[in-house]
Amino acid sequence: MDVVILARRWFFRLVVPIFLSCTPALSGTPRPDAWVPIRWTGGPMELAWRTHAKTLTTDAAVRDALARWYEPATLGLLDNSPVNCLLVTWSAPVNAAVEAEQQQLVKVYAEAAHKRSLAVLGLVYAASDASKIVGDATRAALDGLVLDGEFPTEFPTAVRKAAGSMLVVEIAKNAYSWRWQPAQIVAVAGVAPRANILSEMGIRGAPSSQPWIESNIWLVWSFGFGSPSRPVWISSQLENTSAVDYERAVADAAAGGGRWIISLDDGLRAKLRARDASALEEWRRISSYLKFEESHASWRALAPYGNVGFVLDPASAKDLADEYLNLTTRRQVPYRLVARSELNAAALAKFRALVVTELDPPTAAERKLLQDFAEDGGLVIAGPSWGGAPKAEPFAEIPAGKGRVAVYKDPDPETVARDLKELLSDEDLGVVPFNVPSAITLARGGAPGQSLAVQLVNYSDHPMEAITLRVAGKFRSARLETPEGAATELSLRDAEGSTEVTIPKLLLWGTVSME
Amino acid sequence: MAVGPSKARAAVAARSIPENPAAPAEPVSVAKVRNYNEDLTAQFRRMFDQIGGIENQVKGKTVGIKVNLTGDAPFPGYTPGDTHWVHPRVVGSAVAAFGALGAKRVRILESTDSRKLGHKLEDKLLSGGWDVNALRNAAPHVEFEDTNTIGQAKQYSVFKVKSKPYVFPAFLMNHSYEDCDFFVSMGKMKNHEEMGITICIKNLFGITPTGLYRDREQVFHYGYAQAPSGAPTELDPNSTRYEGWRLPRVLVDILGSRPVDLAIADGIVAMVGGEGPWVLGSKPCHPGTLVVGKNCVNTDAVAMACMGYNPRAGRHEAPYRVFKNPKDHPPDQCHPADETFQYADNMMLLAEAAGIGSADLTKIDVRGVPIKEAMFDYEAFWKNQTPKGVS
Repeated sequence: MDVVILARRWFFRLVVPIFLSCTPALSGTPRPDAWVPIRWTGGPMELAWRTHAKTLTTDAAVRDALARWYEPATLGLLDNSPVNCLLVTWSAPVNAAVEAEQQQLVKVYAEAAHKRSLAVLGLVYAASDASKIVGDATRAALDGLVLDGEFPTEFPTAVRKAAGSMLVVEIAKNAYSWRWQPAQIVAVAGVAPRANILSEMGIRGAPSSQPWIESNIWLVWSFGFGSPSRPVWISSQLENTSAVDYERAVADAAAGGGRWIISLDDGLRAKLRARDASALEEWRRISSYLKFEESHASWRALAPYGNVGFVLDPASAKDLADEYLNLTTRRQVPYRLVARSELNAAALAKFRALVVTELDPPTAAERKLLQDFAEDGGLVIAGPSWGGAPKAEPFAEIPAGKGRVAVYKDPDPETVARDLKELLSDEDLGVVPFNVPSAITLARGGAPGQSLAVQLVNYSDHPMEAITLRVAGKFRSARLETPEGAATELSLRDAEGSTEVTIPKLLLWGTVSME
Repeated sequence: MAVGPSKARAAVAARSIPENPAAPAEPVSVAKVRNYNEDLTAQFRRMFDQIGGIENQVKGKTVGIKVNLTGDAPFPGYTPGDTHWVHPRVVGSAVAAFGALGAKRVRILESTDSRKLGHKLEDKLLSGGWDVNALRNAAPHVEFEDTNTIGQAKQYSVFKVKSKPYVFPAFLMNHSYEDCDFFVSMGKMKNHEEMGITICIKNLFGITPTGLYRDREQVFHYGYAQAPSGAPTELDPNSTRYEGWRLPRVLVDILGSRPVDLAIADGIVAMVGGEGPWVLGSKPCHPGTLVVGKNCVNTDAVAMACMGYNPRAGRHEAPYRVFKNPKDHPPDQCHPADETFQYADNMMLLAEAAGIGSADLTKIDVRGVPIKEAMFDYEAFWKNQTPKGVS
């Protein structure tokens, strides 16, 4: 068995549960798996670093707010908010006096934050003496460090080594670099979620074209290996910074089971510090989304739902795998992930279809397993190494017992993701949404006796109306919950063995729980 | 009187399609309808009366309605039914009106282009946010059929072109187009990137089954592929392949093969600049117009006039002087052999020449609201030339 897989499995089964059950250095602060993170940068080091990076605003009020951000009063902004983990400016290549002033400020601020049961993590922007960074953080009683920048390969390793039991979170630039590696908390750079209209991008689409959705849902979902799953943080700066954009960023990460590292625009923060009424109202709206997320943690605990299995291999073309997951999510095909090392008959029995284009070629044992899966009624989607790929058509369907193997001559993520919806019946897909061109849906749960939670996130600035969900199987009730209001019971319709519900209107985020 | 060069060119081009004074002309009804929340069933009943009534043709009969659907991506803030599909309230109200007039059965028909086994038209409608159950209950007996395939029949029905055929002598279609006593083409009043306009004639392109013809663009638009084995083949495989010449003629052949008993043009909300939001430069508009007539050509001619176009326009006039992005079209489709510019021939003039219906407004009895009061100038709106406040 692959050493990486073994290490991962060992890590999930032993280290993560122990780690997640431990409290951090100071009692009263929440457990790391419950951390709701926010970028809470400021102080003289932040100004110096931004000056160095040529990103410092010329707005005097904003500069003043940043400079004085670690005055204790800013902690009051977090009252009545689920935010409980502050990412503060800790280490950057600035002169010693600025560094000393910053660390003293943060030390005092962290002490006050801990009294409010807030965890404090220090942001490290650039590589320097790892031992000193960690030593200073320990003396300031920080709960951990966050590496947020471009670092030489050896630097994160040196920080971890020096940190010992102190938590170190590295914000990864690529998901695949962490999908197979152990990490207590996974933090990964994401996108600013939104829906782009192709024509507004100057792209002439086709009648079947849909808005191009930028989302992190697939990214969070792609870490859904192992049990318990690791906390996943998405790091992204929003281009548009209306309350709706912030709410969408919260919903986008949360729907997949992760958390957005809340990153408020400097202008908003300056207004918050000045207790501007409109800014406080905007923050209240964002907090209501965070509360909705945190008050439904049970959804996160439900197992991912999907009758389509994507077989992933740590050794295959990594960015291609990401593209498969991204595009399949956007096509609203519910799927789960299967590690190549964990292919066995029992695991495959849970699926109706398997995408094995990464097994190029499959081993003889894998091929036997997959052939048996198809002959039992499943659909296998394979690349040309399977044999029998057509010359003209994109793929050929080869009957196999009760099932079939679809062999692509040149599989690509866009084509496979699109074809999955046509190759599989609605019953095989399990959950089929209608009229959701600007939304992504994904489901959890649904095991016998367990509720099924279908999340919908709207990436358009316009509300969605008349959404239909068709779900395989019979249900007794369906309830829609949104951050905006009270739960609504939805009427159920029988649809030839499936159940349909209609959501009359959805602003941005909602979850349909079906029993 | 002096005639400018562009008018002279247009006149020459128009003359290339012979006028047919003997082509039939029947009354066409025009109404101004502000939005889809008005009582459209009552509106249809009035319009049906204005065109001479349809009760005798509908009572106790099966009505088939070919609705105009296409891709379901919406313009932001709009539904597909607002801009590039016919609106579900127009469909539901027409169904209710047919039911009230005694129709035994109403069938909603369209080819969805889905390759999914067992795909239903109802699913396509759900993807546009339609209330399928409401539609099903709008008349005593409402059915849906995706005419993309052979459907519930054992074979495709053969439809011979009854008018003088231009390109194809006949077509194979789903049985539902044969198994209806009264056939309705319900189109959207919108532009079309390659054909200039889509109304009720162009809507009929969708009655050809992709389950049989497969890539209809290759077979009908460009003629790069021949009709499949078993389907009637084109009359002259050496005729021009330029779609601006070919497709209007194919559309008239389709109309000639399955004549329309009632044409309904939905221009209450619509779009300019193309047939769907995927066409660059297209945008929604609110003409507030509904047009109904028994002759599909007459109806399209009046609807086209309500869109601010000359229904007898030639190749070099709007909306038939087209622009097709070279990125999205084969090179030879951007460079017609017989013209300097990209063009589409006027399908109404072709239909008139074939004797199906007149495109001459002087011969058509327009009832209800006069054209000049109903007119919404699509071309001016597309070019942002309309006064502020006109949407």
